Amino acid sequence: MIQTALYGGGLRLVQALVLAAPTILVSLFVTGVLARLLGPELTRRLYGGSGWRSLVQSWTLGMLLPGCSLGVIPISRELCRAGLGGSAVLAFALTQPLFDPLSVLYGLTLGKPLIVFAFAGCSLVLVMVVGALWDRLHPSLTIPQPAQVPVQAGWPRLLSMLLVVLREAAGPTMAYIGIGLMGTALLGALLPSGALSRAMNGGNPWAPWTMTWVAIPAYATPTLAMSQLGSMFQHANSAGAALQLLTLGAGLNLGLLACILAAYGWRRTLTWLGLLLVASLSMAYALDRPLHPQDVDPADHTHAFDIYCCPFHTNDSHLALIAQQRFREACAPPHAIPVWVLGALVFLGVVLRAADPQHRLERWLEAAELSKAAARYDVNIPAPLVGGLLLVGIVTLSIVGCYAYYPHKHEVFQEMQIIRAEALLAAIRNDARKATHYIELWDAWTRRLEVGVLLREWQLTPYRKIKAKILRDKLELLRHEVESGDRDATKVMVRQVNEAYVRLQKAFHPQAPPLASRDE
Amino acid sequence: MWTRENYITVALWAAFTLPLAGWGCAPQGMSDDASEEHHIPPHKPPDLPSAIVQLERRFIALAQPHAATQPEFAVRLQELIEIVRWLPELAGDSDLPEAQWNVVYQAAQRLEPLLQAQYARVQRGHRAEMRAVQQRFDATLAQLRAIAWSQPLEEDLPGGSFPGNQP
Repeated sequence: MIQTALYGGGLRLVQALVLAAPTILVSLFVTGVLARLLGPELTRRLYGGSGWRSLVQSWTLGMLLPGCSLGVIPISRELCRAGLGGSAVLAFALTQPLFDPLSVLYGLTLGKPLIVFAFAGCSLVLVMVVGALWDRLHPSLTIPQPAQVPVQAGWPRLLSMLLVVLREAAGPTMAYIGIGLMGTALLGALLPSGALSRAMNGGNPWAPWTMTWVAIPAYATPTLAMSQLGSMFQHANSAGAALQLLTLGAGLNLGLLACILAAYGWRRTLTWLGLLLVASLSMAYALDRPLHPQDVDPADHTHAFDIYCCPFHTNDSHLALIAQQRFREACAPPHAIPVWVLGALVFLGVVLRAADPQHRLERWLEAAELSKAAARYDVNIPAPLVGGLLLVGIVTLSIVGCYAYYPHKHEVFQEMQIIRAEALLAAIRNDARKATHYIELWDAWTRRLEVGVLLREWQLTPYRKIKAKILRDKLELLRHEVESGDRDATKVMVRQVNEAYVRLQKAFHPQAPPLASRDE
Repeated sequence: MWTRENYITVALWAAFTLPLAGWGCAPQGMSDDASEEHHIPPHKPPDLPSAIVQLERRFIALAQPHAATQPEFAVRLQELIEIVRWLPELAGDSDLPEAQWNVVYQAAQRLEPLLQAQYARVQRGHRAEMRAVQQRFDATLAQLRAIAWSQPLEEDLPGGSFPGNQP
């Protein structure tokens, strides 16, 4: 039992770290840009300073910048240092992790894409209401900071930016991120496998309430939260719970709460959290019925939240062996690269903090005229312009990145061909763990296919949508048959899934060669 | 010294945590071995031709004068609406080409509001006027029949060489 909990918690921690590492790296970079290129004055102006305008501007910037609830920690700390109002910092911290271009596009594959925009609107109302009330209780809450000295353009400015990144990577930020990851590990250790599969059923009045307590310690990237939302609406689960999952699951975690606590103290943090919970729960219960999908056959369960529960069953034999294999899968090379880069930054940051605790290097960079004066063709670009361009670049890159994440249909079908073979063979061999893994991948690729086509052809016909939905529904049924161990029923479902896949391919990619000849 | 903010904070947390008293020990489904399955409604037809037959039969039954008591009539009408909603999915789960599937899809889009309007009447305590929509319903059904029965029977699809495809 304890061994299952330890392995389960450990695996969930590693999986969350692998998911979070890329966005933490981007956020550390953004922190460096805000600190050294934009500076406090421009940062305050960018985020609207204080009052209503700052809430709307912070929400808008939060929507545009890619990130997650762990990655937002260093940026929020920098916004505090820049002297931004407390409610604006919290509005940004809560909304930046909710959406990014990848997840919004993913959301378009939901049965009713308008729900994504409805939820985005809800998050705006939430931050406005909570922010305004909090501002009334704690007016003009800013943390005064000393004025920052600009650094000479060229390599000194770049180096000073790198120093901010390194110090942040090895500073309290990493401790808060660790606390955030521990929340996910705790859920993985304490919640038995599949414990939440029926807790969020549509019509269950406790679903938004239960989700609130799960979502606060849980860590979810925007895309993960969006895929869970998709699954919830596919199964006609509670819409109120879905809203809580997005606002608190993607928006909040224990690390971010610890960071807020350190910045604003117990009383203010508890007031803010109390306001947030009461407002978000009220909204969730108010919208539960109106947003409930009436045209979906309700399922009495969902697998969307299995990722927050223990990945192992208490009666699993060879637990250590299975756990080792799952750890290896989680840390496979392409996914582990950002973790290694992050590890390197933390190591260098620790060395820097140990070697130069007094920030002498920064003072030297600020004081000295280190590089040659700009030549005729070596234009000296002001730091704010460079910083602004870099921020615009990040947003642009995240939009362009959508084309890589949602590739052309040729590539999607090549991937799905391999996944199909693995999933169906595992199902026939009754290897439930492997079959489940590949079925989940296959499901995700059907959504990526839809978004990829939408991005390139600017339309997705209802015919194509229904073909993808039918395949997903059949994959879900296949998963259940494999898990139940009924070999005859599994064979029937394998045939049905295969047929649905061929029809999907015909609908999306009629020129593709027949599958039988491709398999050869 | 208790300030206004302290009172507000305590009130907020009380409002949030009081429902815990009625929550019980654990939410539903807190088990390690929950056996899960999808509930398929008994009136869900297996394919498009069966759906068309069902639609025809059920509509005729509902169009009879004094077809059923008010609550039973509402349930049957609701089931009829659900079958109409399933039409695109049932047609999609066949080899129907896109042009013909679109006809089924549009037929479902046309039929649903017609029946929903009658359902709304029943919900308000009035009698449904099934005869008033019968002409349009029959015309749409004739269109669907022509599509469903013009389709060849289920044949082996490419990819049939995959292990496990044999029933």
